[in-house]
Amino acid sequence: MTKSTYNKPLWVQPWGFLEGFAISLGLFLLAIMLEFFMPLAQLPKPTFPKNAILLISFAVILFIINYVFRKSKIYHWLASVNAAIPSIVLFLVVLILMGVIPQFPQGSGIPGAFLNLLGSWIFLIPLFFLLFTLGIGTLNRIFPFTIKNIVFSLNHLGLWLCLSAGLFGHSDKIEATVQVNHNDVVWYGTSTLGNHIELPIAIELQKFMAEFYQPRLALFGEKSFSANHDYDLTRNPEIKVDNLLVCITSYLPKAYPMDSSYIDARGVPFAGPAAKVHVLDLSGNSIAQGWISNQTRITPEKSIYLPDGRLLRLLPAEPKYFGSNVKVYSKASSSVIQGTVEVNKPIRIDGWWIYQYSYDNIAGTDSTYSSFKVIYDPWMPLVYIGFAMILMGGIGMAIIYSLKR
Amino acid sequence: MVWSFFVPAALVVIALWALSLFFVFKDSGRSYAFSWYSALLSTTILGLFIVFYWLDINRPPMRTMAETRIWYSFLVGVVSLCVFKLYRSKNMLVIGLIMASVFLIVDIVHPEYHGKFLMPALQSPWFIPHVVSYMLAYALLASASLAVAWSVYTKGSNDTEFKQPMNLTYLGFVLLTFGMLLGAFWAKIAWGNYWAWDPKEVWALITWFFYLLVIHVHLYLPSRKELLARLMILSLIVLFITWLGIKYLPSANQSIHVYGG
Repeated sequence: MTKSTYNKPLWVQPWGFLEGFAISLGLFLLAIMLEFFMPLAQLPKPTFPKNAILLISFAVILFIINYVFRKSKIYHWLASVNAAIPSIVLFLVVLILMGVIPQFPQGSGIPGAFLNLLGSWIFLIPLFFLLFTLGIGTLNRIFPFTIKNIVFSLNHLGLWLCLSAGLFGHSDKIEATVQVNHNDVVWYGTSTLGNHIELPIAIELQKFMAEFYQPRLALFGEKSFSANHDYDLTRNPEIKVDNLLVCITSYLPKAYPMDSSYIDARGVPFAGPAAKVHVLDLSGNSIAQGWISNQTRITPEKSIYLPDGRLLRLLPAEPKYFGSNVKVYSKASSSVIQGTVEVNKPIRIDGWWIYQYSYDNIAGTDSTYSSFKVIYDPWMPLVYIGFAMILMGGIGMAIIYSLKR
Repeated sequence: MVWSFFVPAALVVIALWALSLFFVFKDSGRSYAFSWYSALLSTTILGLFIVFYWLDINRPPMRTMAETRIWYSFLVGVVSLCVFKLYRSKNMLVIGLIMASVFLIVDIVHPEYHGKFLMPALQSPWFIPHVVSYMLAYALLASASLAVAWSVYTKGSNDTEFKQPMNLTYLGFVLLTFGMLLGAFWAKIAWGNYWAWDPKEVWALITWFFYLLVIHVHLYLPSRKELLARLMILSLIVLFITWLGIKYLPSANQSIHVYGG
C-alpha cells in the first residue's frame, strides 16, 4: 500500500487494505445473516459427482477471471496482497473463534452455528474468500516460469488444492466404527453420528492381542499422586508415593480373590493383576497393609483406605501394544486380505483404511472383541498432492530466502 | 536413573549460559570467544543429558510437557549459537539464552517425570520428526520474533540486524509447515484422519496463518516495520498458546492432544 492510497476515500480505485477489510467484514456479516435465515447444516451436502462438478466449476471461474478480466482494477486488487491479507485475517478470526469456543458436531443457526462453526456459513464464506484470493493470486504468478514463481506457485497452489479438496471432498468421506466379536464376521458399523451403516467391506476377527505395562500405584485424596513406571512389581520394590513408602510384598499378574487374600490365577480367563502391599510412613512406621487389585470382568476393584482418609489404588494397566489378526473382505473386488491391524499400522483394501481402535478395557488381554475404525476418503490423494506441493514449495522457499545473507 | 541428574545438570547449564551472557556484554573479541565456548559447552551438556536420558528410558523423551521444554531449551541454545557464529548477532544470543534458561527453570520447578511408558499411538516413526520439527520451528520463530521486536523498538538497529531474524523466520515457518504436515501424515496412519479440527490442531493452524501474515507483511509491506514487530509479538503469543496454553481455553477439554501425565 502506497502513501497515496492511505488518504483516499473508501471504494475509490486503486483499492487497498481498507477495501479488503471492509469486504471481509461484509462477508462475515453476510455469513451470519445466511446462517440466521438459512442454516448451512440444514442444507443438503453435495456428494460425488456434484461436488466434483462444483470444484471444477470453481476452478474454471478462477481461470476465466484470470484471462478475461486480467486488465481490470478489481482483478489487480484480488491478485494482490491487499486482498490476500484481509482474506487471511478473516479466516483467522473464524479459526480463533473455533479455537476458543468448544465445538460440537451438531448445531446450526444463530447462535448454534458458533458451536459448530465447521458446518456453518461462518466458516464456509471466509474459506471461499480465501480460496478466491489465493486462486487468483496464484494464477497471476504462475507465468513466467522463473524459480521464484515456481516456488510461489507450488506453495500457493498446494494450499489451494488441499483446502479446496478437503472442503469439496468432505461429504464423500465415510467413517464408522466396527465392533467384531472373536470369530465373527461383521459388515456394518456405527457412524460418527451414531447411525448404523452397512459397509462394502467386512471384518473377521481371528485373534485379539494385547500387552500391558505393569499397573501403577496411586494415592487419591484432596490431591492425587501416582507413582511412575520405573519399578518392577515382581521384584518386591519399595515405592515412594507422596509422603508414603509402599512395599510390595507379593505381586500376581493374574490373580483371583480367595477369602481375604489372592491366589495365582494364571490361565484363568478374565483374571487381573493384584499386589500385596505394606504401607509405611517415611520414618518406617507401619500404616496399613493388604491386597489391592484392578477391577476385572469377574471381580471388583480392591483398594485400601488409609487412616488419613486417602485411598491407595492400583490403577488400570496401560496398554503397551494392542492389535488384531483379521481377515478383511471387500465386495467391490471380491478380494480378501489377511493381516494384522495394529495402532499405527492400518490395513487398506479397495480405498478403505481399517484401523485398530479399541477393545474391552476391563477385560484387557482377554477382551472377547476388538473394535476398528474404517474410513473411506476418496479425496485424500488430492489433499496429499497439495501437502506435497506445500512441502516442495517450503523447501524452495527455505533455499531462496533463508540462505540469503 | 538419569532423570535424577536433571536438576544439577540444568543448574550447570544455566550457570554456563549466564557466564556466556556476562562475557558477551563485555564487548571485546576475546570475551566473545569466551561467551561462545561457554554457551557451546552448556548446550552440549544439555544435549548429552537428552541423549543419556533417552537411552535410559528407552523411548523418545518427547512425551511430557516438561520433556518438550528441555528440547526447546536445547534447540534455542543451538539456534542462538548458530546465529551468533553466522551473523555475529549479540542480540539474538542474549534473547535466546535468556529464553532457554527460563524454560529450563520452569522444568526445575515442575519436573514432571512420568516414567518409561509410551502409549501405542506414540510408538510411531512419525513421532520424532514431528516433535523435533515443531520444537526447532518454535525455537527459531521465538528467537526471531523477539529479535525483530528488539531491533524495531530499540531503533538503534541497522537493516542487517533486521534481515537476519527474518531469514530465521522463513526457516522457522518452513519447519512449522513440516511439523504440521508430518503430524497430518501421522494422524492419518494412527487415527484415520489427517486433520480432525481438534483444538490443538486448530491452534496449530492459527499459528501457521499468523506467521503466514508475518511473511506477507515482510515481503509486501517492507516499510511497515513497526506493524511487522507487533505482528511478530502477537504471533509469538499465539505460538505459546498453541504449545503451552491450550489447557486454559474453554475448548481444551475436547482435545486429545494433551501432553501425557
